[in-house]
Amino acid sequence: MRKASLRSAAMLLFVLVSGRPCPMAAQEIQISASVDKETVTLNDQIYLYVQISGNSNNIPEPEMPSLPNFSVYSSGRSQNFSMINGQVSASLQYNYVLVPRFVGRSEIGPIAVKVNGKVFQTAPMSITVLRPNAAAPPAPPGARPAPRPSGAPGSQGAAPGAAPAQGQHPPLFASAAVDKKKAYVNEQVTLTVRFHTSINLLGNPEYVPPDLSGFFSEDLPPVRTYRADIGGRPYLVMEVKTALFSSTPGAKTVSPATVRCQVQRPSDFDPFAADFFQQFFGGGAYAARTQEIKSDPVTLLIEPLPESGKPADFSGAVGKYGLAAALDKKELNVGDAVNLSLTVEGQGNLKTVFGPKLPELPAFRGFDTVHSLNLNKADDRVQGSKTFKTVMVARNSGLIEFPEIPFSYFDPEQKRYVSLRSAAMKVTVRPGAHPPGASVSAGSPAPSSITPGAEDIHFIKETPDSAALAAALASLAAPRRAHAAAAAVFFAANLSLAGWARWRNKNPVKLRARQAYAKASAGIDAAQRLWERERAAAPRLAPPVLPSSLSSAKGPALPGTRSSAQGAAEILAESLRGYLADKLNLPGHGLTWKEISSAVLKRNPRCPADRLRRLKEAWESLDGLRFAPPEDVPASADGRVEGSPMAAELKEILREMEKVIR
Amino acid sequence: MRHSRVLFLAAALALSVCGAGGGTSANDFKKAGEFYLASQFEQAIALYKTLLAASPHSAALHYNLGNSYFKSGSLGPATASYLRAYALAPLDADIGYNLDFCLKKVGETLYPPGVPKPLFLAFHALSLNAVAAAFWILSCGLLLSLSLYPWTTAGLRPHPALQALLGRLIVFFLLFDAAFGSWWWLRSSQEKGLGVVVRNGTEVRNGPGENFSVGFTVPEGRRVKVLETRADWAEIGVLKEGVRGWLLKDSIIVVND
Repeated sequence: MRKASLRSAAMLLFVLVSGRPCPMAAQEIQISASVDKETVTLNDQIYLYVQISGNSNNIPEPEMPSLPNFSVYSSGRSQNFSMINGQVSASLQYNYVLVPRFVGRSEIGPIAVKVNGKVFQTAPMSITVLRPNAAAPPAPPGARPAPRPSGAPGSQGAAPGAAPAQGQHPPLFASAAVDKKKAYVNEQVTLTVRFHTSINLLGNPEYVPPDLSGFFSEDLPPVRTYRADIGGRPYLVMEVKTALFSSTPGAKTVSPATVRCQVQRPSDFDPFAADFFQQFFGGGAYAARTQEIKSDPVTLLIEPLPESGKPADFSGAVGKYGLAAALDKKELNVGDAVNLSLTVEGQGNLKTVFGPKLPELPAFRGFDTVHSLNLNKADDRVQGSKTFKTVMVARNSGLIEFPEIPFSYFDPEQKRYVSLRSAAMKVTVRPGAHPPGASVSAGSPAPSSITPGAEDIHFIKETPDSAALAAALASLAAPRRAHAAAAAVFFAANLSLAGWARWRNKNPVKLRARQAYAKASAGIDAAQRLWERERAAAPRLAPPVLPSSLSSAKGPALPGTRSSAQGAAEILAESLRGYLADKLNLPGHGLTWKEISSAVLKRNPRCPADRLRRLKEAWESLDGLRFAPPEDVPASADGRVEGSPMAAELKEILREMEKVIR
Repeated sequence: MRHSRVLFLAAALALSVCGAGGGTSANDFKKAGEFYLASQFEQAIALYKTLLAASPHSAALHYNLGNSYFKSGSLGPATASYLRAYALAPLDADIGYNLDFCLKKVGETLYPPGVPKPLFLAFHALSLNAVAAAFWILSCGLLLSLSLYPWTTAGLRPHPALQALLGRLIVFFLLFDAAFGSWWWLRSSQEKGLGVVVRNGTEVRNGPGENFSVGFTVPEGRRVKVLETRADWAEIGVLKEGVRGWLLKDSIIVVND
């Protein structure tokens, strides 16, 4: 912007022109020029407007033709950009002030613009310049009214701003002033540069704008010219205004603006000099020199925006704004598009205003937001509107509500943040033929396919789950120290017991002795099972009983009972012998009662005699039963005596011996 | 310890079969759902929180609370609730979908890019607690087998068949315990200290204090990992970008301590 301003104000020419609009159409670029009046007096001025529009985001500045009959001032430009589907459409208007220099008919030649090597130009226009006392004809219908410079009512208006005191006024000087010395970030500060001249200038003055680094700048057209009486001296004043917006806080300095002009050198023409003719024809009376005039630098203090009270949706807008939202239709079908327009309107640096954030609208699919900007600079304030348009395609049917849309800005006058909300809107979406997931231009998918709707989270669970398993797992997953200690104690104790048992079992004699009863008991049980099996197969077969002392029941032996009884008796005898051999550490074979009794008494001299006697009777009875003829084997009276009494008797004897033999 | 745990697990299973609901009041659960249906999300949130205080291991409650937060516009707390629900019930399709939906809103995804989805699902097939519980149960089995084994050789009656069986059991417990232990360790290292940013545009500084410069900002709903805490500040690492910095503790919700 600053660059454009520098270019647009590069030339200041005083010329007079009049004409009529002469638009010229082209393929992509359209350029037209118009003036506010075609006839003008010599002490008046006319406005020339050059409008360029087209599908390009880089429209160059128009090339002005040579206008020797006018002084030409650039009075800035205004622009309107819009971007639709990525295509930039721009409309630029360049404004010029033309001040006539000579009476008569003058022509404004074609104004050209060159885009991509192609030249587009306007038709020439004719302007009639009359003497000051001549009555100018009324402006043609449709011509624009000439804007009046503020603070300069006509050419006789008083010069605004500070002026050098009486006696300090050079014939040429420049001044720069701002409307405020302190401002907030992104708040408008109006810079006014004035060029004062009280002498006739030769040639066209050249205006070099100040360096505006660190600012967004906007020209504030038109350039005002008026006459002012300063310190008793009449001046012609040219005034250029620029709106500044600082992007960062801190002390800022606007460098001096510069005006270069050609002035007449003070005449040293002497009619009585000897070289009079040489001076006369050498141009001494018309000599010119270049003079450069600078304004003073201007210092500004830019304050940061306050942090307190800053809304969450604040995006940097400073000024005074309003917000409006609109839908272009209230009813539509699923798959149809509706345009949501959000317009931010007001005073401020609209170019840096971001669009309000749209809320979640699951029922719609939103496309890219495009914006268009409309600026005007009435009363030297940058203002206008910025419209953000979003194409929304309905996905679901129903009465859909567009919620309020927030927008916040900082008001530098009230020194506080202001939050706006657009009004909520409702739109009725009917079920339609269009698939809701289709894009506007992509066409329809196959009818048989599933058409996706609005993306959203899944619904809540309607039945509570059981958290018991998860709680149990959580408890198991986080073992406590007590648990770990218990496990360690268990593990250590078990290992210790196993080690102790292993140590004890290293002595085979002791092991035999410890296992003696278990082995004998197993043998007795086996004999018992044998009897029971025999009885089940042949109930008449009677198991043997111990003779005399071990059993009171005696009777004739029955045929067929001898083998079973003897087999069982043999098992019992082997069990008893094995027990005594293991327990007393004696050889198993060839064992005699004498050896047994002496070994028992040796192990336990205080062994009760009755126990030793019972053991002896059992020992002899079983031996006798093993080797006795079948008819001598005693049996019960009915031949059905159970074998268990004998086994039980023997077990009891062994249990008694366990206590005696240690 | 072994017996107490087995009994506790059996009791828990019995409770779950009976549908005891782990303390969740069915009426309050239903009432909270009605609040949700009526778009009274604040009331639904309050009631779900009350229910969760009594039954903190209910995936459904965490899930519904996440839904309520999401509908009320709180993306960060919603993501935190979904993460808690996902930790309890990783195979629940609704929980996985909603969590992924929220993560996508802040440029993340539940399924890490470059990792095959079946592999990710298998890795998360069991909850972290289930993996840990399996590890401890297997550890108990291993200890029991190891402590019984000497008795088969040193007991009163040597039993070769029992000895062989215990030998096989020891190998089984050893292998599976090592596998579940590794799984648990990997999962814990991933999920421990997991947090979610709950303030949009949270400033992450280069040190634990306001006097340190702002390194970057993170949006609400982003998953972060808490690396260290100091007073009111926590050092976090942003998982996706791999950057780290300090923020105020109240800017995040820690999902898994």
